[in-house]
Amino acid sequence: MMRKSVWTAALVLIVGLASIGMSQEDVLGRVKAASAGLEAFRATIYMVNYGSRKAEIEFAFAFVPPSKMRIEYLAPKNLEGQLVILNGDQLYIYLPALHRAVRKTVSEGSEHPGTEMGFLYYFVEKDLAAFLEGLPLTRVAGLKGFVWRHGEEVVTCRAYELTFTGEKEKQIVWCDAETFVPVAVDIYQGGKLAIQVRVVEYEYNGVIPPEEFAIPG
Amino acid sequence: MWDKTAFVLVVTNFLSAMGITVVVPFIGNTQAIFGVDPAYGIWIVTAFMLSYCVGMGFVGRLSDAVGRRPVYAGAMGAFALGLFLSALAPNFETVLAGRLLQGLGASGTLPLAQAIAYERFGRRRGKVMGLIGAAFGIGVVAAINLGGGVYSALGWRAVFAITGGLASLGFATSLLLPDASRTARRTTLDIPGIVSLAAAIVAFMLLFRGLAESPLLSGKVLPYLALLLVSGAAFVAAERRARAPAIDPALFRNRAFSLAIAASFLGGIGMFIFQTFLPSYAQVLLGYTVAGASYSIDVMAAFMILFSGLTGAACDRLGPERVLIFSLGATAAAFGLITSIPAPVLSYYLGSAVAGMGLGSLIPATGMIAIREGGSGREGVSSGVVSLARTAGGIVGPTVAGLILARTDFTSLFALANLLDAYRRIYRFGLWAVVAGLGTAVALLVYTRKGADAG
Repeated sequence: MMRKSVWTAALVLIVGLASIGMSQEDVLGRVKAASAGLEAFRATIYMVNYGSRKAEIEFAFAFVPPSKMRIEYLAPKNLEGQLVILNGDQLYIYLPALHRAVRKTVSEGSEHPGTEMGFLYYFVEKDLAAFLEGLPLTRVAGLKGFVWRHGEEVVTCRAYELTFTGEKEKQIVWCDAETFVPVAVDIYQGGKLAIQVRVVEYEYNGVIPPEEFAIPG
Repeated sequence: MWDKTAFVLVVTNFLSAMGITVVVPFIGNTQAIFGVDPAYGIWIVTAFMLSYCVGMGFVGRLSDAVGRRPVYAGAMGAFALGLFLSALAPNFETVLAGRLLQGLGASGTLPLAQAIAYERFGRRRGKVMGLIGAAFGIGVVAAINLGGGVYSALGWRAVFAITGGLASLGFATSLLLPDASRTARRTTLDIPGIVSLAAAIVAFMLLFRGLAESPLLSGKVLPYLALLLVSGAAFVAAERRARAPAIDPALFRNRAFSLAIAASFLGGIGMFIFQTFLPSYAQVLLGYTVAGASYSIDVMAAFMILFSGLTGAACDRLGPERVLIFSLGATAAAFGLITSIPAPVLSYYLGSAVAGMGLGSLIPATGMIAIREGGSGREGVSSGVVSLARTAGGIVGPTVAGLILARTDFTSLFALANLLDAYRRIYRFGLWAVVAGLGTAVALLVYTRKGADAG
């Protein structure tokens, strides 16, 4: 136990030392590398939409590039069981509140439900080049602690803060200093905070059984 | 007051109102039940509304000419036959044929019942008209409750068969109406007017369905816009030329009559938007099941019943214009409450209760004003026109609401929040329609008071 702690402390120290003096391009390069090496991603995600009325959702997210995605809503209560499955070009949405299932064929280039997660979605989709085309990187703040409250729980991690600025939109992204996986995204539209994305927990390159992406008959 | 006639009018209106909403529990399942595309499946409602409107265009005049009882009993008979036809239908087209017959039959009951009550009950006419309105409101809600239960337990054929059985009782009951018909006189049916009205209604519905998927300047929209304009113009021309027009243009020379019709139309938009979307709003806002949502609208129904009776009597004492102002004011307040109170349960039930107060008062007040202003000998046609105006509002309101819903982005991660926003936009549209109706009602009160002072 003691030995494990020592190794962990050493690893954090090494990462920390390696991070000191990393240039903007170095950080983005590491994020791109993490995206390129992604084979499967599973996370619990909390999102807030500050539209005409504030709406909060939490869902279990699973993604296998290039286009297998499953979103199962966990909160709020009236959304429990709501399901979004993307498998290739087939999109299935089930809204239990209305007992309504929507089936669509998604054409190439059209927006997927996940794109509302901003940078995080392009990261898991391994398409950061498309993201950067519209929102180039304008700033990287140094390594610091990123803290946010998730109900009673306080979620912390050390993260790099990257700012991407376009004509009408700005996204501030916090990437885990160890894995360079995005753990938080703030999306600003017209100068106002529009959407917040927070990763409660995640598993990078774990095993996700293919049947999770099967579209119900 | 509880004589045989009032009893018959109340019972038959309860039963015919059931025809409007009895299909609500399985509207969303037409694809699974009948194997038809959902866009075609919605014709199960459209077919009914179409013949319901068209029927209102001529049953009043027909009954003015040949007497109320034969037309009333015939309407109930057609309604029952239509239900049995749908129950036994081998395919969806036959179900639609049954729905057309049901709409035609149901179109005869409310306007004629209002006319009979107005003619027969003297100073108590408001009370009886209020009770008829209450029975109509209960029927609309009871059918959703009954339809949901029967459909879940026995399937869609049973829904039509059981309602058909009840309608047969209604037909038998309608034969008990006293035969106080006037001497039969020759009348002609305004076929060009009826056909052009039907074409305009269909064009309007298809126009908005097209707008849900395509822009205005597209092949899916423009032909229906053209058909709407042509059929609308043809209808106006036909009514000017006809010897016995379905909607007599001469009635609109009376400003009070025109204002009552405008208020009825605008109130109809509010009435049908509130009633139609309340159950699904409960599902989205409060997370209720289909059955739970069906029962949640009983709060509105209870207040509708209570206030139909109370305001019917108030029409006799205070005058229908004041009751109309109360009705539209309460309905506007209900729309405001349901969209502005942040606590969902409170906003839903408080809004429903206040809506029940307002909507329960609309039918007797508008009916009484229109029949009074239409003048003696034209009670049937005046009652038909005011009912048609309310039903036209019932087509316009939900059609516009359908367009708003169709533009909801269901592929968003916040699909349900978007849907709630869409419902709030729908209710705000209802609010503005009812506020416009309230303004019309105030103008009507001012106008009739000026007339009374001058007289």
